[in-house]
Amino acid sequence: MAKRVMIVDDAIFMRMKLKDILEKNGYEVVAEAQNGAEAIEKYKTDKPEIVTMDITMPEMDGIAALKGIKQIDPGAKVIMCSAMGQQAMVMEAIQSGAVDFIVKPFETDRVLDSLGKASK
Amino acid sequence: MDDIQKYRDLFFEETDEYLQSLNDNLLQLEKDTDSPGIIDEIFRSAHTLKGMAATMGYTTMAELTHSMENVLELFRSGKVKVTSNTVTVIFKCLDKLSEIVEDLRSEHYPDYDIKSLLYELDALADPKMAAKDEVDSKPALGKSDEISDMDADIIRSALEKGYNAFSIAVKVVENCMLKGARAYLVVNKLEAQGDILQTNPGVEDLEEGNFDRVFKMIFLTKETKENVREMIENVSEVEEVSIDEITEEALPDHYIMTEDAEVAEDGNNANKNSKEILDQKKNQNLRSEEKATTIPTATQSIRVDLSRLDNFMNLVSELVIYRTRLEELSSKQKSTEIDEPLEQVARITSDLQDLVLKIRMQPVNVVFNRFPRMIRDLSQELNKEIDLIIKGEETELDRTVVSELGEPLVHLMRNAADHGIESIAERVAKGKEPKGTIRLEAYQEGNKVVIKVSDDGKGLNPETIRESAVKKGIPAEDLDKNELIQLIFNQGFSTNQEVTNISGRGVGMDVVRQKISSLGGSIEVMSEVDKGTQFVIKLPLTLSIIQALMVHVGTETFALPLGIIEKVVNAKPGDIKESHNEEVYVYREKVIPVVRVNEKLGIESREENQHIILVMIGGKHYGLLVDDLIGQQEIVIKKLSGSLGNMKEYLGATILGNGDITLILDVGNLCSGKGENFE
Repeated sequence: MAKRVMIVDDAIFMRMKLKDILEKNGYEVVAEAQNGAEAIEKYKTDKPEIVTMDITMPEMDGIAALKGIKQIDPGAKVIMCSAMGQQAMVMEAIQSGAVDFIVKPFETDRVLDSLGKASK
Repeated sequence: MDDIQKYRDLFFEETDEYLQSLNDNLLQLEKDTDSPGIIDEIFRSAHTLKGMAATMGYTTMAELTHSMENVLELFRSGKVKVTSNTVTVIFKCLDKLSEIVEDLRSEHYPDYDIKSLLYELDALADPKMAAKDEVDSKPALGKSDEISDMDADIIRSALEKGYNAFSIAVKVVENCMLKGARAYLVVNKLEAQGDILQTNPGVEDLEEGNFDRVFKMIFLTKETKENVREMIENVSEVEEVSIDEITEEALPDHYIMTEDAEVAEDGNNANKNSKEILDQKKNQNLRSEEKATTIPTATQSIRVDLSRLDNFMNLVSELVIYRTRLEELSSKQKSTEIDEPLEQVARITSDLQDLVLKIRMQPVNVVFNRFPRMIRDLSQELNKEIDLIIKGEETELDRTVVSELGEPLVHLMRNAADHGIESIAERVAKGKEPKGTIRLEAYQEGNKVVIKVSDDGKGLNPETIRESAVKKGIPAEDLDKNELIQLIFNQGFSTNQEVTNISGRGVGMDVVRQKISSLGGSIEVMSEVDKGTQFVIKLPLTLSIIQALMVHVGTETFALPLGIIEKVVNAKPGDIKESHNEEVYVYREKVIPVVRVNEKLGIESREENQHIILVMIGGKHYGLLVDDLIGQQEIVIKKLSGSLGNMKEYLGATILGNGDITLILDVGNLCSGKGENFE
């Protein structure tokens, strides 16, 4: 069974890129959200097994969304997507229960490594 | 990067949006330097651009956005105050970015020199911050596996309670980014299952990422070695984990346990303390969770290829055509049964038609939003003070019209700033406000959209125009003031003595007018010396459905766009006279050239019930001689394609209710070359 993933990022470009990597490698992207609020809503309805979560987004950022999702489902597996220089944010996310983080620009191998480990 | 090419279009489209938003927000920031919301917005745009650029492999762009982000971060955290100088530097970066993006778009990759920009960015940041980069290679602390006495005692007591003690070394992969956070992730995971006694490097350095590729820890847990290994290996970007069990014998034996219970006690306390701190942290987390409860709603939209919309439009118009045919057939058959569903079909098709027209609409904002920046730059360059007031930017127009509107508007705005608004000294001398005002307004009026560009500058001087006109051999002696002003739309007409950097680059007002009329619109100018100038542009809402006058020429039917028609007169024998070897018609005591449409198209006229259609093209009147008039009708323009596309006499074609195809005349082309002998 392909793992069900939700991609959260405000840039369509990033979502497409990530989706492409995942779908070519046997994951099923069941939902996409462009901000934190949407991510929480879609988490409820689409019940993904893994979430990739961008940190900087309008409306509600990735950390708030992570906390929201963790509240709904403490076992949720959320991987943060960050960029260089967001160390403090990433740490906050880890403290809030993110299972892992990947750093942009995405390298296919690292994305798969992280997703693979998270799906265990 | 694999098949990155197919993301290019998306990349550029989104990049344009983010650049625009950066631009808008910077302007906002300049007005209100304390607004944290705007800085967040700017930061986010820069940040997203950076991520996108890096993913596409556009390193220069990524590097520049990264530096911008660094500086913005300082503003965001309030460490550095925003000044107008900072805004200017960021604007410079934005310009560079736009330049890079344009080059990338045209697949042109020159070497950019962004060093000076980067330097300027660094200078904005706190000097301490700039220096920090150089200190990061601190030597590794102490010796790796040295266990302090205190720790040794803690380990001893823990071992007694059935804990396992491990010395763990973790090696992260090469080029691991955010090493600090990566280490923190490992530490965090381990702490959920036990206690970390000691790290090497120290916790702070560890979190800052101040280590090469390996960091070490001493870990107390009830988990087995294998489980610990699995836990750490499950963190991504970890290349290697080595775990050694620490046995009691391996510990330094400076103290004999029983004799030094106090120290052990201390150690326990320390443990407790760290637990408490952890609890406190958890509480903090809970609190911040509570904060994030407001869930704003976002409007959803999707991007659609314009050609698909055009297709949609075509299909809907075909539907309209067949509906009309069905109606005709049904009235012939006199079957009332079919009438009711047919009415429904009629209603739905017209709803569909409205909808597709609306979908194609775009707010003029798309064009207007570049002007605040442009005027800001111009006012700095020209050393004038200019206030730009934009109104009605939400007014919508057909997409094709909006995208063509930029160029003429830029020209008018530049003119207003350069030639319209006077210098501060001049304004003060005239008793005006030192600050000039340019207004850009848009609003809908019936099925037209009106765009006004006005300034409170020096206005057009009819006398200067007259002189200039006479010099160029244009008969202008008996023109009144208003007519003189309209002369600025004539080709090759410029009253401006010196060509400045900003306007007068050879794109004259005639080009502006040409563009506007090619969009089916009109432009007028009103001006008063020392009060200002106003341009009024009127544009049709859409280009794809127009009101047309249907006429007969010989046995053929043609459609003429209603927008350009001023008047239709019945042609009585003798109305058309000869002058300068051309046929003319006298209209309002003015001689206007007559075009016999049948001759232009090579069709034989029936020469009965002829009409002259008076049209206004580019400020000149022409009379078109046609045979019969049929009536006014709404038609859908379809472009002629293939070899038919080269026929310049026609704008396109349309399908009528009875299924017949009718050509739409391109009046501008039919009239060109006529009437040049007088004027």
